[in-house]
Amino acid sequence: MTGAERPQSELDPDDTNRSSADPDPDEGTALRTDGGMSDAEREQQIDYLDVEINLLRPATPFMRDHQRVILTGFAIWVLTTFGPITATRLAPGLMTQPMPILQFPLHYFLLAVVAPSAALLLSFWYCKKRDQIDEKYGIEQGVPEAETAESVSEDVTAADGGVSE
Amino acid sequence: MNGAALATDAMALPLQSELLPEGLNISFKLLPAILVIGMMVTFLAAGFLYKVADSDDMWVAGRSIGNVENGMAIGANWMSAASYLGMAALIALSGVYGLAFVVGWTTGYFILLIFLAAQMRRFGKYTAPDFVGDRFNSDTARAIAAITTFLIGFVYALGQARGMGLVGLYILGDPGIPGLTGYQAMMIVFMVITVAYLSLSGMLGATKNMVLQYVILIGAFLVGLLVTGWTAGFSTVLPQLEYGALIGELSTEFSAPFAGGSYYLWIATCFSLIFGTCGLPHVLVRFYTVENERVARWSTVWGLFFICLLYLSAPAFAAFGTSLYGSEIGAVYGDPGMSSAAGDVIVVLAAQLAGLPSWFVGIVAAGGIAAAVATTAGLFIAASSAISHDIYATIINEDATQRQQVLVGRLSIIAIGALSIVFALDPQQPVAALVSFAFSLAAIVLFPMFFLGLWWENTNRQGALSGMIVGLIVWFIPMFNEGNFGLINGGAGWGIDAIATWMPAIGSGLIGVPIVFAVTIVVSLLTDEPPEETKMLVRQCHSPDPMDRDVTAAEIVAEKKKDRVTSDDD
Amino acid sequence: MYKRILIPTDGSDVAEAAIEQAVDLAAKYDAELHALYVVDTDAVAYGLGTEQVDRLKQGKFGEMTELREKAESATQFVHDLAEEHGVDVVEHHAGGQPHQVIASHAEDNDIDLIVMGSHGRAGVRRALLGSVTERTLRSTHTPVLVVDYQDVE
Repeated sequence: MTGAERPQSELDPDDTNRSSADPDPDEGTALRTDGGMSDAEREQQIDYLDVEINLLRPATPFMRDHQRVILTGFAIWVLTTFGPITATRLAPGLMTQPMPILQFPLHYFLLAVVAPSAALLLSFWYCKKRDQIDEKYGIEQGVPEAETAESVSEDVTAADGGVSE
Repeated sequence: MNGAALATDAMALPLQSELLPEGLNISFKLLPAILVIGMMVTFLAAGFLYKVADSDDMWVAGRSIGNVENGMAIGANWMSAASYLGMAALIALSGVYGLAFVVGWTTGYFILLIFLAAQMRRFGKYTAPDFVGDRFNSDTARAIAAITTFLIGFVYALGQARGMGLVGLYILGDPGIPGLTGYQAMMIVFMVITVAYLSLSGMLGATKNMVLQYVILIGAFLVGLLVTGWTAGFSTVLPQLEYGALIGELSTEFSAPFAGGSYYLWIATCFSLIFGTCGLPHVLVRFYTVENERVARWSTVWGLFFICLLYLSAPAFAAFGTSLYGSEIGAVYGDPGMSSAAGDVIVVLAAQLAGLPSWFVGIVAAGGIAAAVATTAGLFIAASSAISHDIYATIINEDATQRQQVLVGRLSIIAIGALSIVFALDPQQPVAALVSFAFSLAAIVLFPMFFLGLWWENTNRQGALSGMIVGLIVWFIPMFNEGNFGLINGGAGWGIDAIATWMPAIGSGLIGVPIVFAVTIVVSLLTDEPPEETKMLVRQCHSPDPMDRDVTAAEIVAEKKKDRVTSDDD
Repeated sequence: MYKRILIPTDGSDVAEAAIEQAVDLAAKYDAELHALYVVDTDAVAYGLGTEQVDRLKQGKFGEMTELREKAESATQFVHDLAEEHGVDVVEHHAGGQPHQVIASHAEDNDIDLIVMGSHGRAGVRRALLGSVTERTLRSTHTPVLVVDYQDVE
């Protein structure tokens, strides 16, 4: 059995009893419940070569966490990038008022100063978040991935040739 | 006012080769000339000190590039004539529309960061055509990507050439060569210097140069801004925030929301620039030289920081320039108003009009030219590598020796240099616009391939090929419509209003990108799925498993497949 | 007389013509054979971009699979042939301008003889493509044996 032959539906994220190390159904063994493994543990058993990559349907805990960060960031970015000019279009009178102290016309300030700075801050935020996620899943950059104490050592997983090393 | 209006501004004067920034002090100035040469030599010297020695050096992982250094390299990459000169130009000439460039050229990096940087690095190929060729299993796709890279380099370089020519007038004056206007002579001189520079810098390796480059260029710009603002009484220590108060005193066109370009044009331009950023070959390539993905991510943050230092300052320079022009030369807006030539050198002009000594103005001018030369050098090398590595050595002649590659590379550079010079003799558009055309091309043809290639495993060869070809056609349509390249109707183009309004060349990405996405997706859905191995490649790019430094996604996939086969007993 | 013989190779047929002679000589003189592959940084710069030259300088050659494999297979060829004749081989990979690297390698390693292949080009082709062999000749004091590559029809 190779992971490549496994039908895609096996990786349906809606399957609550899903464990990515399911044995081949043709062998007749029942779906194994995962007994409440943590995300990090579940992640250890996944071999990414079997995971369908789809931006809108994250298939593993890591991808789910990661894509949540990505899409949140993207949404905020759309607002800070295209928001000011749109607001100016919709309410020019209001938007062109000079700001207190700095005396910038508000729209000018939002466009010229706030939009780029927001992108910078978002980038910083994203990196911080990624570092957090990396920590959660025990990913260390530049060091070969070692088996952590959390990884489940049940014999069942050994039957599947697709456990990630 | 719509996109066509920008073009008509230039087209109203027949054969804009008479580019002459009014008010600019055009004469030979020795010190600034020495400064330019000095800057170029400094850029080279830093690299020269680190020449590759011998075998051991190559295998031993020595010094590696850190976040800040790589960030500065990214920043230096972005310091072209467009950012240094062209942006302030459009902010001055077209008011709020010019801010689309500030927003577009910065915020794009966030998109690059969250969607492309790390995944690209995991894929591990050297160049953009490499990626396209390998991801879509197609030499044709590789060739198209290579040609697109060449085209991008060429169009981008046109903008730089114009900048060189105009600022060159300040530094070296008009040599009075018969048959060539001052602008044309200067442009040729500096383009030739660029090719010389690149022959030397190419082999010396990039990053150390880039850091020094960035420091020198940002230094020239920021000091220029600070002193200009101070001398003219506009600002004290933080001109980037203090210029706000000045805006109220400038003509309304400077800040009136849609005086220089419609809302649609603003959005279209900004969109094109953002996604163009994510599709430029020479931007992505920076991620291959870093340690690991975390460094790739954090370098991008630093890079954006360094870019923002410049981009938050450019509008201030524009404001100062506009004010000074208004009081010293004439009305900025209206008829005749400031010409696009003067606008393109507003940064230098501002320093000059503030009454600063010519050696100081020379520093600012030298910075502008150095920025243009360095950027053009980088572009030409990217273009030459596309031809010599991706088309010649990979497709045409697989047994090419290193000498043959060098020869083809050199010939490509001569070709692109000559093309750029010829077409820059009569550029027809301001610097920032010319560069935007290149961004639109990257956004329309390459970005969809990168994004879909990395995020949707079912994107297949047929989809990619259709997408890229449609993309190229879509990009050419507004270019010919507006008469860029001067090929159609002697520069007037087809002149179809509907296209000029809804798909302006400067912002064709807004329409082009969705079209290419749609074509690629539909064709991919209608045809066979890509081979399983290719899908695994994509999946490997998203795996959180840290990759060892010396592997690519393809190698990991091959290894894992081998593991599986050997662990199967049936 | 010859204790150490250097055979620079770029993996091409031209180089291979010289390798046979080098191995033969090494066998007869009981000499140590040095196989050297030089990554031409000019080619890397024009072909792959300056960032890749940078990587070379940082010692990341190991990561650059295609380049490394070419280098390894070129020197491996020498190794294999030499083994058949009972000759010791030392394999080197280096980066830089080929003629300079070859010359300095010869000096640093007390090389007694350099054996190189040559296209025997003339005229325009020679002007355009140049000759590493010729430049090496002029860069070193070590004796050089030039083996002309006869095109097999």
